[in-house]
Amino acid sequence: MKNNQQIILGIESSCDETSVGIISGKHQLLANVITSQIKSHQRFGGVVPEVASRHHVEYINFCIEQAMQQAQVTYSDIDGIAATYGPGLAGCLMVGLTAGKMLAACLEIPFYGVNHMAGHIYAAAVDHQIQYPALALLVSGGHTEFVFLKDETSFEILGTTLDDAVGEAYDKVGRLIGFNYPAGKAIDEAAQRGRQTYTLPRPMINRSDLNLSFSGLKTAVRDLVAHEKQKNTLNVDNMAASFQNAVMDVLIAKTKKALTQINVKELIIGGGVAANLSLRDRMANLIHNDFPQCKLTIPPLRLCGDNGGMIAAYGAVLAQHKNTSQLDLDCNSSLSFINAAG
Amino acid sequence: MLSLGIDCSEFGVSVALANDKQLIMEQSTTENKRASQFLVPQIKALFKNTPYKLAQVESIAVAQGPGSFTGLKIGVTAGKVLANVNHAKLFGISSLVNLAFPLLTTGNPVLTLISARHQNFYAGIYQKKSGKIVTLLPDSYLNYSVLREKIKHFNGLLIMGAGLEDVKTDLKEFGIIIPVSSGNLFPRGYSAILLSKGEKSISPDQFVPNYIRDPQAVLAWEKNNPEHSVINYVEEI
Repeated sequence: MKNNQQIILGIESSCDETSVGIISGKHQLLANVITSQIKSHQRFGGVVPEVASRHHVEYINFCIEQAMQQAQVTYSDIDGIAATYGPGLAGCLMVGLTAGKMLAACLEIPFYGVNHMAGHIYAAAVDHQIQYPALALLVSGGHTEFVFLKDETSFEILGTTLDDAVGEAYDKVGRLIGFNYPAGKAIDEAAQRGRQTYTLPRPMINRSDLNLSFSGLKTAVRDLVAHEKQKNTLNVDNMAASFQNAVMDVLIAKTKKALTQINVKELIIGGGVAANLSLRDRMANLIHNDFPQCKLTIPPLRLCGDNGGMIAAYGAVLAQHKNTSQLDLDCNSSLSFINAAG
Repeated sequence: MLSLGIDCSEFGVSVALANDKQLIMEQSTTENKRASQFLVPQIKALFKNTPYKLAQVESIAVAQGPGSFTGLKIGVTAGKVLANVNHAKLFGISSLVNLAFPLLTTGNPVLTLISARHQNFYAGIYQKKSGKIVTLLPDSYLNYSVLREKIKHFNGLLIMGAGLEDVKTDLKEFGIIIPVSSGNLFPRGYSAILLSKGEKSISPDQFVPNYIRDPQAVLAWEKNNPEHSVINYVEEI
């Protein structure tokens, strides 16, 4: 299905999903095959890096083949290969990165190393042209940060979590109130059933900067849960609602602060926690009521979690700018955007 | 048949290109072990100044393990991805046999060892008899106390391996210890190719490292869940 647009194949293996996406041009996603290891890591209550990287080796060829089949392309149709090289689990990153570099070497086409977080932002570019300057709020199991995009290749961190990522806080709280890993969806659903009856802190909500903190909130939940369990009065749904409200209050307040401080045309929410229904609702309200001139873009649910499509999407941007990577690119598990906040 | 050999299982990165059994080019480093960084460019470099292209490789031999978990995954991933693109035949070679290879011409039994820490070793014993390599101790994961019982009845044992410091004095009683990397004694991409001749090829989709050892978390979980049923832990979503 080759047209005159460039075709980029993107590989993602930074944590517990092996995924390959294929994009035509910068916006048309032709395939996005995702294999999830959740069932495996549920045995351990969280991702075990060695187990995750073994699964990546098992499924990498399957994902590449399935993606090409779905996209109806052959190897000779592909113009470039993109792969995540960080941040993420080193042993996991190496698998996708090696696969990507090997494909590029064999097909004699350019290779593009992609920052996983840029991928999460560019999930928003599928079927959509991002307007710059833009602000991205990245919320996932490993990251929580505000990123300013002057244009499509410049990323500047305006604020970040000082301790736990928001997704991490969800998983830890999930464990406290009896939900399996990963707990994000279960807490979100319980919160829809429950009411905010417990009093929890909103860490750093009144500080003028855009940094965040979630470990204190988690500790507050832990103490409260222990107390309630002792009295045999713990209401899980209400606890979930109270926790989720606290998280959302902070995220909304900080986003409001960011949009007041800087002038952007678009707000992008990316990362696994962008699948949270309460977050999606409340962000839509914030933009509608307070910043109607700013466009809100939240990728469809399937593109919020880790996926190769988003890596292909940012690979397509790098390809347009001829920003190729050398084949001796190594993974960088703590890769970061430039931090403007210092 | 244009063949590529890869060994980045433990001691560095060695890659070779051969036409049938004729070596065309080989590149090895025992210094830089960052296979994630250097394996692919090192493979690509084999084709420089040759009339061949990577896309022409028809047969790939990869040291499949045991060894460094990370090294194995990188070598195996490169091999299986390339085999898929090229529709090439893919062979998994024991990294312990590949390590033993240069000593097998002596006719002596060869014990190769890779340390897995805390006096545990990946170990195998091989001997060349009438031109054929015979396995006398299949690739295993053993504590040194068990290993020494298994090796004590061998005569003329040649011993090669890594991480032997703690057991060296005792091990000397059982044979001659030859250090890895002395002369050209290290596991080579070329010997992986030679060892693949006449072997059965593996489907690239099924190709995974021979780790021998499960991750600690899995061992602990299985111990606590002896009745668990085997399910597909990974699923397309």
